[in-house]
Amino acid sequence: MASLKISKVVAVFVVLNAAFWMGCVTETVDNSIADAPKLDSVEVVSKSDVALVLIPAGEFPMGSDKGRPDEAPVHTVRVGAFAIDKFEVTQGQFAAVEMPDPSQFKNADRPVEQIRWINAAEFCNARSLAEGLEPCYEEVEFKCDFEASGYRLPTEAEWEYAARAGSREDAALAAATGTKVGSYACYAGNSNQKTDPVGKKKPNAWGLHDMLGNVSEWCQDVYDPAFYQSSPAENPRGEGESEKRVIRGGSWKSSTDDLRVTSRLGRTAGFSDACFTGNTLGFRCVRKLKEEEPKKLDAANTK
Amino acid sequence: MTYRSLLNLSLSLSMVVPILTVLTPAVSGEDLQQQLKQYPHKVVFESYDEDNWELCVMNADGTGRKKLTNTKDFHELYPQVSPDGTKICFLGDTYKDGVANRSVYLMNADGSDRIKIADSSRQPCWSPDSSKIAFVKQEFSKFNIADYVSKGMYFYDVKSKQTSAHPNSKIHHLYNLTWAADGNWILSTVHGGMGFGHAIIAIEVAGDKVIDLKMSGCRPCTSPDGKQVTWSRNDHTVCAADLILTPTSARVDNIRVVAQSKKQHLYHPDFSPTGEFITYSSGPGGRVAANGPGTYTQVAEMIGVRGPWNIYAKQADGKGEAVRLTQDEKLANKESEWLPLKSQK
Repeated sequence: MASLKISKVVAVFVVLNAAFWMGCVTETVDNSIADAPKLDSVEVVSKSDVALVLIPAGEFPMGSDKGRPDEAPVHTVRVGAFAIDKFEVTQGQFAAVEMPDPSQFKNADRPVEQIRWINAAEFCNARSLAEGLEPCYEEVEFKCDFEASGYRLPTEAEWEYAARAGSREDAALAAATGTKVGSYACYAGNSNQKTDPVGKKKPNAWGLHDMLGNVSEWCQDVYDPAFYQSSPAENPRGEGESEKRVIRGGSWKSSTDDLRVTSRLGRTAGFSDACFTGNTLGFRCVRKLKEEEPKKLDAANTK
Repeated sequence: MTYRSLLNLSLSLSMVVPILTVLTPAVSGEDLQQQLKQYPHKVVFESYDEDNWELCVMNADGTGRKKLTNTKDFHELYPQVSPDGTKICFLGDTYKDGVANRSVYLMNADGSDRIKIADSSRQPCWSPDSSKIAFVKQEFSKFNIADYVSKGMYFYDVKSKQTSAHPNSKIHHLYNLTWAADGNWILSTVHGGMGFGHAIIAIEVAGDKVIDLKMSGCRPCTSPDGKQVTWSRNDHTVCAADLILTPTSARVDNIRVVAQSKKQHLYHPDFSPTGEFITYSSGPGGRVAANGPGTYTQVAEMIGVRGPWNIYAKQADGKGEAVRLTQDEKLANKESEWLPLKSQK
């Protein structure tokens, strides 16, 4: 419940700081949208000793009508339950599966960066195999089997749902400017020009750290700036033909304007040489719930 | 134009390394073909034929192609010719129970008397006096196709057959080494290692000094006289520059475009023995699926990836048209390396 209180404090801060946002990307509460689920988060630890948070199925207002054109329109989306990494994938996790760590800012507890989308997907498979799960990706065209038990990158909808953590505001945490944002995100204003070790900042209401800032996070979806015009309402998955994939959340290099849960960017997935990747790009993994996990979520919900 | 805009322009010009586009009259492909026909040195390269990577040699104009190796179930790749033209070191990929191993081998320039000189190692290059081979070791026990997966640098002495470690214990994630003619510096790409995100660096051979050459791109190759370097500035552009080395400093100047293609990727440039030509590999970008024994799913510029690529030659000053030296994309002709003929030196 403590985490939900934090969410409320942040929401209040949004309103108090509305004036600040004039001239930036102004965000306000949209009261027409249904309440987000109010659940305590359930944390589990994987076989490879990585913390995940079980996220219940639910509906949320995706996008923003007051951000950039690719964030509009706000549309109601429903996502199924899933498990998501509590932290961004670390360099230590890469070493554990003997995957080459391309990061510039070396430290086992810092997030992997300079990672291409395809290498992030390869890691998902390596981690799945290490935990006896079925890999989600075939490794030629990297098509994703969403029914497989293993790890994959979050869809854009899953990512935004997890990042919002029940918040109905378009801008969520990012609207908490000044000293507040520095408590939750490693961004240009406090980063010392590099990443933080994961989990140094406060978590969101679902207990997820660094959803905004530190490293921008690859999503599963192909980037389509017009996707929200025709996005399905149930578990949307961007599956176009572009070589660009979605990144979300902003990084240690981002201004507060990019630390918005609705902010979308597309970057080339990396079907090219290793030379040209960014030290702001990382990721976290998701997987579908295991057989016993829905009961854990139900138990938390009925507390 | 205001003072501020003039200042900004001046700052921009001083910060951006000029890339000189070639405006002089073009040399036709036929002219270059004739020049190459007269050129006495040869070109060694890797090629995929009959389910196998082999090393081949051809004349400078692409004629007279023949295999230097012919080994079933053993894949020879990444040839590096000694500056005196007598020996070739290369990578050998083998498989046991489905597990890949990549090691460094050495043989005479005619393909005879091969020996393994370093296990689980990669990216060899020759010292300018042809007495030593520098190489890096694979980072993990498990093989990984990614080119930068390396740790540490080592020197193999051809005469004594002894291997010694580079004094800099922090060497990490290097690929595509090239030993400059002054003997004091090795140039290399580094990716996510030694404090660099991605860079081409000069590494002191006998010390700890590391200098960022501030030339974006990868896969440098120095000219035999040590006065120039060529590399891939990005997927589509091969550049060359003046290389200015002293015992304590390293920098590049006068960057110019040698070859460029909007559609094709250009990689693996190499100076001819007299420095007047550059060969390079070129083909489509994008990921290629593993398509035969000894091949991997990756981008074609990586070692062991069988993409439909061919080898081209162009004047090193970038003037004129390129000439295609290999003709069959199915063979995946890549990683060209000039073979200086001793009798012609």
